[in-house]
Amino acid sequence: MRLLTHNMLACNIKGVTKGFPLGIEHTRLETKESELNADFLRHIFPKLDWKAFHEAAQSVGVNNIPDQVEPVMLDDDEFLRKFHHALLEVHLEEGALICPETGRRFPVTKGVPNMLLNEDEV
Amino acid sequence: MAHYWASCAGGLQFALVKELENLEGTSIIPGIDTYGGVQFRTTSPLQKVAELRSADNVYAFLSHEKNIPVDKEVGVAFMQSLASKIDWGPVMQLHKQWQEAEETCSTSRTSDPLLTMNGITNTDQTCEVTQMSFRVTGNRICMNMKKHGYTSMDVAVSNRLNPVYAVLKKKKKFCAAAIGDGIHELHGWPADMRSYNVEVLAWIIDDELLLLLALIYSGNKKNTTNLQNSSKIDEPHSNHASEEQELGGEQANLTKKKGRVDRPSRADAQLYSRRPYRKALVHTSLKPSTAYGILQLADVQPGDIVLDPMCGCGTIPLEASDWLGSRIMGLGGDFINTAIEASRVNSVAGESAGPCDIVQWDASMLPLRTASVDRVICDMPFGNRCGNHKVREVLCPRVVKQVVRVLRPGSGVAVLMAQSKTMKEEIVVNQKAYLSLQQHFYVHMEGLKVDVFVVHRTTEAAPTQQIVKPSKKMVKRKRDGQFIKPSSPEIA
Repeated sequence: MRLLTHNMLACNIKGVTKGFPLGIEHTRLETKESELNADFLRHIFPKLDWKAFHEAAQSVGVNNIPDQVEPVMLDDDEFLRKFHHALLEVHLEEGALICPETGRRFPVTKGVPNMLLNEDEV
Repeated sequence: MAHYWASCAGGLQFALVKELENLEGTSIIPGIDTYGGVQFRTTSPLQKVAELRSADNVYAFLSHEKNIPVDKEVGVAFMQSLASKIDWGPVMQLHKQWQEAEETCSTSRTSDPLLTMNGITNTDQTCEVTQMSFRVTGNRICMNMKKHGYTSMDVAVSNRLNPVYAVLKKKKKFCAAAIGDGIHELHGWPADMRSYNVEVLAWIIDDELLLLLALIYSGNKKNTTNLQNSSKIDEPHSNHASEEQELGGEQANLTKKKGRVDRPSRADAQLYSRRPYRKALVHTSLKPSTAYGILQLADVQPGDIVLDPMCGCGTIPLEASDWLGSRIMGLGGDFINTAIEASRVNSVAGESAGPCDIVQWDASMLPLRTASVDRVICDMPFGNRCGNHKVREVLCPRVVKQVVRVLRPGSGVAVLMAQSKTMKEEIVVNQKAYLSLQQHFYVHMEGLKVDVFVVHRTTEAAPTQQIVKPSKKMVKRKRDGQFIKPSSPEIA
């Protein structure tokens, strides 16, 4: 699972109002190189919740993502490279996602988060 | 100028036509509307033709006949005469080119067992055509008329080809005798149901007949064909032993279990089987070509998140990534463990093309932020091999509500495929404020008529209480995996 996906996932347990962003616990991370597409990054940038992305990047040990960003930074190749790396190249392979409100753990195995709820949670 | 027939799901010809219009030196021949596919001539190299994304498969075009006789005797005589009406020269030339291209792809193979086999049986024959063995596969459908006077088998078989007839009779699903008889008479090729190197397909719908010649005989390059069959004939051949070893235990065991070695099934030898991400399948997997077709309707833009909330083996998001590469991000989810495992395997296999993530979730309660997705393309369960009608009538409207919630207001587009009577009502009545229906048409797939809805998300903000609580019964069913009957074979 990439951090871009993490930026979209939210806990949907019944009654939870603040299910985003999910915390990250990791036992295995993987970095898989992929092609950088500046156009994609510029388009995806306004759609992201940057605060959540920044925190997620830090929790997987990527510390070079600034906490404040301006759209002009998207013209900087160096920034785009870092952005691309954190957003698409770091994969959470084994670990868990944690609901910020209830502390419910959603396990991540082989890179696939299991977001299914138990009967009493729906 | 090669003369082809490209097949696709009925109703999605527009995608194929669009692709062919961009293929150099191609002229589309209109006029056959009964079948899902397009007839065309092209000067483009076959590698370009093999790259067509919207085609299920490509065939060499042989013949198309309207108003064919439907009573038995006249019909069979007519079929027998068909072979002699065809100009086989260019067709066999094309067939040869495709086989050679296939050969050069599979570098690990030192010789084609098929050619070796036939080379030995016909050592002194210089004429290429006589080295062939063939089969005719017939498919007969009555749409608007009562019944044909002949069966599919009659079309294919005759007395002279008795063993062939026996096989066909056993299978009870293939036709093609009379045509086979005609071909046999003309070329003197032996008919062989199992180890053939030419397959002729006869598709009869009402009083129309389409005759095609298969160009693709193996699904992926590892699929070695006919090893055991050929071994009976060319035992002393030295290449053979090494080849069988190369095959590895797994395939050898597999073939032994079945007790026979065949060409891979037709379902496997399709153009789309060559997609890199098509490694693992669930039994109602969507065809990648159909996925490509409906993707055309979604007007995907760079930087879009393309979501399939019920992705099965991940075909739709993976096809989007494979086609658009790093320009978009695919996201797929399902709740069945087997589907998730298949999607995971496929997404790893297709990783080099573009990003696509898989998440296990319940599509009626998507764990996604509101307004976080740009495109939803969803092939909802249909038919009787995937869930049942009752469950779907409850499930589909719930999924639509979730789609409304996660789509970005103003810019979001959804393409929904479903076979549900309540879907249209859900879209145009219940979700009227949030969705505007742009297009509604039918696609014919595997003999089923499936609704396709193209909807745009309006600017209206989604209601806050969109998460609906599924009934206890539904939850239990899902947990028990009752939506999908386990271990039935795949429909490709």
